[in-house]
Amino acid sequence: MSGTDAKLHKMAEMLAEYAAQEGESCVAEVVEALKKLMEPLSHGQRQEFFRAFRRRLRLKLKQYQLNIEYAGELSDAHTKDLVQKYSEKVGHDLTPVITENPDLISGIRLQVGDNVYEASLAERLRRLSARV
Amino acid sequence: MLDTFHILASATAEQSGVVSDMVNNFGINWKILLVQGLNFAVLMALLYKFAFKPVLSTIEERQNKISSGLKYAEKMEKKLDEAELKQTEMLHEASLRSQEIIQEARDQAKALLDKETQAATTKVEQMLEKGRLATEQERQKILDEARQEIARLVVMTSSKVLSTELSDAQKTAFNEAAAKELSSVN
Repeated sequence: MSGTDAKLHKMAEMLAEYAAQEGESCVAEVVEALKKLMEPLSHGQRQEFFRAFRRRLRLKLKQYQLNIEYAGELSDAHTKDLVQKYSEKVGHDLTPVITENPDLISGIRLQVGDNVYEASLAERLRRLSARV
Repeated sequence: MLDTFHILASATAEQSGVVSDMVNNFGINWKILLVQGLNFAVLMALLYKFAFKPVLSTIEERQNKISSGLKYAEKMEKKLDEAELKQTEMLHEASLRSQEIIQEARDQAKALLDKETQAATTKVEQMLEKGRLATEQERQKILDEARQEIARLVVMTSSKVLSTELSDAQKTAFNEAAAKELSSVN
């Protein structure tokens, strides 16, 4: 990797971090920055740079999102409590993405980045099945 | 018979006169006697020289030959005896040696047979062990598969039952407990 490429990757990393942190409010700002960065690049370099940015953004978004899957009923109070606890745990604010998942039967599954935390009947049955 | 005596007596009386004449006239001529003795001696010497001596020599030679032949025959007989003895000893030794070789061959054959038997036994044992292990593994595999299948069925059935049978209240209660559990994760 050349010095220019390394610099571009570093910029892509920083932009992805910023976009993930700020959310939708900074989309226009990030798009403008991307255009400026990609302007002097060739077509191939632009494609490669954009792929790297998208990959990093996806990873960063995972780190700034708290995916909450549930079955049954989940109160707002519990949701807020979980977001607060896991934001403290990772050291930055998390955006909750809430999805109902009947496969859990009953319970909750959380995902932050690559880490998954689950307390559901489906998970207990899987554990039971693994022990048998 | 008496006549015969008379005749003989008369004849004897007539002849007694002739004999006395002869005795009186019988004289020894020493010269002739000496010459005749000398002739006899010469004859004897010649006979000894040209007849007896070669004959005696031939006889002696033949005797020597016979004697040496006998000695040779005796020597040969002795040698023959020795050869026979030696042959007997050799035969005996060869017999012993052959017995040793046969025994050795038997021992080797027995050892080989034992070794082969042992190898065959070991191989059979290994095959049996392998078969036993394969059977055990197969049994274990079937048991594992059965266990997994049972577990899958249990989980599937439980999931269905729980999905349909759990009331909303129970689900809510479980979710509250789950939220508390997840909140306490460090």
